[in-house]
Amino acid sequence: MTPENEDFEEVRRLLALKRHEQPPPGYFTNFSSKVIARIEAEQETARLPWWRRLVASFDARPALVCAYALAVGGLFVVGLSLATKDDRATALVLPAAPHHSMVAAQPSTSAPVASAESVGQVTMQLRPMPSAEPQSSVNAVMDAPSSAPSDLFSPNGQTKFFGNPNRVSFSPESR
Amino acid sequence: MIQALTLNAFVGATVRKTLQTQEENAARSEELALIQRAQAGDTAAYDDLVRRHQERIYATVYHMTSNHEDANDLAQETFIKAYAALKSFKGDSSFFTWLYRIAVNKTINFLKQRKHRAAMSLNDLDFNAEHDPDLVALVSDRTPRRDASLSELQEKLNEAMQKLSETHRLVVTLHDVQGLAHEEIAKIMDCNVGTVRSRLFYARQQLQAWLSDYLKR
Repeated sequence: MTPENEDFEEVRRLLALKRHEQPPPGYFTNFSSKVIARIEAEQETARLPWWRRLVASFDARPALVCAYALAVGGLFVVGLSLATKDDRATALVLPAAPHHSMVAAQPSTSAPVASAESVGQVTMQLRPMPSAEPQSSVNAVMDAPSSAPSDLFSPNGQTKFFGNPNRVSFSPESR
Repeated sequence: MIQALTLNAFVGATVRKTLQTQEENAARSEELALIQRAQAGDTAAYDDLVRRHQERIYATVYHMTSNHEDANDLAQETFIKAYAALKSFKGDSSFFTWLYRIAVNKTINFLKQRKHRAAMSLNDLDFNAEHDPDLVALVSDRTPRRDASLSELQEKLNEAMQKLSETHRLVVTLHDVQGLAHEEIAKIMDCNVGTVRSRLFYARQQLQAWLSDYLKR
């Protein structure tokens, strides 16, 4: 007997106790069939198209479904708010004027000084700006007429944006 | 007369060894045939392979985790992963060693990912434990904690095992519990025999210190 064996004989005898720890009776009877069933189920899943596999993965993980739902919902809300902002920014860009004074457009709850009916329902208050340079693309570049320019919508369907004549269709008749 | 008896004993031993080798070869070739069938997609052949190795794989994982439910999941996943990787098995090592490697890697990864030590879910001791002369002597004769029952001893032993690092626990499990040779363990753990021996020495030393109350002095 080596010194190592002598030293740890008691530990080894105690460790032998672990050999007597046995799973519940009959545990191994069905073990292999469970393994084969899982293998066959995985093979079936692998044959499905990707979207069926995705749905199948949701079945097993409700938390994952909630996470996906929240993510998709969040993206929808963010997309919606961005789209609304874009609409407002587009609405602020109004046609160029014959004379080149700059104005800034600010949303106002007070009575409108100049109405911009041609760009929708947004009510704007138009004020002259001290600077001649535009501050940003959001700033409206327009003149400050008391009403929309008369040549904005010409009867023949032609309009001028920034001085360039463009053919824009606004009604089925103009096509 | 003595010479004749010695010769008989020698011949008997040689014959027994030859028969044993033949049986091992037959079992190995049978297993190889099963592997080839399983590689071709025959799940019935794989079912046979699972039956051959399920107890040892389960036991290894169970002694590493001290939890029956975890061991059940990990043992099943080991066989599922092995089936998926069966085509890559070239027969360089034995199927048993190859399977053990998968089980061991899976278990060690699981234990590393598990941040906190889970509550133990120990299997019951079988009927033979109460009649094992070594164990009976251990709990009744000159043991400082002689009032300790076998189940208490089992719990303390598993607690001590869980205190060991994964690699030290694995060496103790494979050698002292499962009875594998150092060389076989070295192949499974992909290290040299010297490393296995030193890990085993350190692990036993630790266990002896932690379980000193339950050991003879």
